[in-house]
Amino acid sequence: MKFTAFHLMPFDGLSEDFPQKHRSVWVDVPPELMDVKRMHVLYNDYLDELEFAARSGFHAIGVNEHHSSGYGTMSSPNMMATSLARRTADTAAKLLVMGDVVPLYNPPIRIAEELAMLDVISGGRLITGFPLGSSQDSNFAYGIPPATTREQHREGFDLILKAWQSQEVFTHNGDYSKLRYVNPWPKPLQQPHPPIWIPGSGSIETMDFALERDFPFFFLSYFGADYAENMLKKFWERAEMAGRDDNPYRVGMFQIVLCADTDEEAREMFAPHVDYFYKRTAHIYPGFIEAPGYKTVNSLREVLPPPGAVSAKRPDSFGAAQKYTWDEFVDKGIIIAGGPDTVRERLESAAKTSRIGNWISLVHVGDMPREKTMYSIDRLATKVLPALDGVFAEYDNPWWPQPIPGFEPTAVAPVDWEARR
Amino acid sequence: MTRHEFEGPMDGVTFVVDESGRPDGPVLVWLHGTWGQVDDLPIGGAADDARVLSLHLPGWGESDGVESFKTLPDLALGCWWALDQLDAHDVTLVGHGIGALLGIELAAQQPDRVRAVVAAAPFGMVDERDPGADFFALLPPDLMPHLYADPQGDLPARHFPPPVDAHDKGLSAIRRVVVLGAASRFLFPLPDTGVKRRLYRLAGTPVDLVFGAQDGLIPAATRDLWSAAMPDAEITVVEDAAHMLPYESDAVARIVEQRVAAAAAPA
Repeated sequence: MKFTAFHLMPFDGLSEDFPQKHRSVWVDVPPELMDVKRMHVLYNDYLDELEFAARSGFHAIGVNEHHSSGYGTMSSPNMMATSLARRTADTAAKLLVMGDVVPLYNPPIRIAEELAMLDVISGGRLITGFPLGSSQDSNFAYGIPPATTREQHREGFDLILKAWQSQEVFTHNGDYSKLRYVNPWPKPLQQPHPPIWIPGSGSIETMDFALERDFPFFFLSYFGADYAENMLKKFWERAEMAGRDDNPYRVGMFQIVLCADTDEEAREMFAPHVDYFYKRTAHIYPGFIEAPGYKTVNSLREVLPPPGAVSAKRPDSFGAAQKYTWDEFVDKGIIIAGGPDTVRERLESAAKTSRIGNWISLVHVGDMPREKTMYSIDRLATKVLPALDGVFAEYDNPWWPQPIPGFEPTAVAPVDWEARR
Repeated sequence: MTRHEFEGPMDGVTFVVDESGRPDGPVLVWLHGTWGQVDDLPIGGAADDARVLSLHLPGWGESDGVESFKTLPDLALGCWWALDQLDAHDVTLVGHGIGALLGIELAAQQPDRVRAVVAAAPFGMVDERDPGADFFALLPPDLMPHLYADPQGDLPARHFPPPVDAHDKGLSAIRRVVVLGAASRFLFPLPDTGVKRRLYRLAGTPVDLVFGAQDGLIPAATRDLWSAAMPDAEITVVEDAAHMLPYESDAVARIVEQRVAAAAAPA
């Protein structure tokens, strides 16, 4: 299995009464709550944490893209990834950019250019993800009409792929962008293109999009692999219908993973930060979560309860999670946390149940301070990941950066990492 | 009532038009509002005196192919195509919300075919100092006070019946996605469609603009923009009404009756 250490880079200064006082942490979060001096410290701590994960043995480190949000402050994942590329040049860790949100870049060749630069700078270590973007980001923060978000995503995605691969200058006459000359310089180092992972939050269109194009599907959920079981079962059914094989590297799972020396220590160390995450950074006005038209009617019909069904709050919802205790978070599998044996067993069990080859592990949650994050990353890297190395070892992973024949990365000035620790 | 269904004007587009009233009466075209009310036309006695053509806009449920229309003027051309199929000329255009805006766009395109326009709570302009409530974001309980002057009254319950079970709740959510998803193609993120640049085409066309004083979606600042852009329009502000004013008040129906009566009168 492959593990990516992933970060949201949240703001840690939301007060306990934030949910009572304010409508949402996203879109219209009050500007006056941001402390930019604190943010200076946080950005640098967060980058350190990802660099540490790269040095400790995680297979990849990952960044993402969000806007107008205290939940995640990386409005430019490419900027973060470029810094990480240089400072992890002496590691084998790959770089996952689980932005760029295609509809937000017009023309989308900006993405083709920046990611190509990143792939070249990093020596071919880039993995890309092309999310549709959350409704909060794409629709409410950036004003993309919800009903055209998917159309824009598809058009932009195809343009980026063609721009990376074409050996000729070409013309793009799309509905959403028009370019007489498409000619990004340089192309990516990895040819025909860096690995592409498709993230989705459960719409069947996104699963089918990944399957049609033979890319892995990543399920983005904050409620863990157990609740994702039915969704992933549906993915594998659709994969079979599409004639795809059962390679577990076709599936990735987003998962909060926290590790201490014992289960009890994990509770003591991390419980307040999990609480902060679900109560404060996940306090989003429900109307911002899915603008009308963002999800298709077909996807909504898939989850329509039968006639006569009683309305009930879903257990895998942020609303329900507001009241969960640490034990409930752990027992329900919403988070995987504890001592190394517990974490390893839970990961292995979920991986085998749903055939999950890739884990995007959220190694920092809520207002977790740097030292606790480093502590957890260290336990994961030294006591959990090595024990899971053999799982799915019999499968090739064609969606992972491969050695580039005839290419030797250049020397990059080393980082005095011990001083940074 | 007679239902007409037409395929076109482009592949994948269908137009459904319900016809009722007096076949030889003046033509009244009803363009429904953003939430797609078509069952209960708020046009008073004009329902009997006019040849009423109620257009189901593509994407709102009965008609299909909204994705083929990239702009509201595109959609207006499609509506004219549907009206061509019904040989509808010398029309009085009556609309609500997005339908009111569409009526103005139709008139801008073919003013010679339009007898009058009655626009109730039209979208189309925005004052950034007060853009109005974000009806794409607000969930129904939060939206109601912006739509109705009396959000606890019978009318909201009739338009948005409380769901009886989870299935019903899911269907309501789907209906919201259908109608607002279609509207989002033209009105998101701000309902300023640039109609102001085309209003000169309505010079000489009688236009009534009717607003609800308590409309949370179209605040006073927006009404002022309309007044400034259409100085010759008849402007009525209904005090005890909000965005759903055609249903909250009979003011729109009275204006429509007058316009239809004028259209029926000998030249």
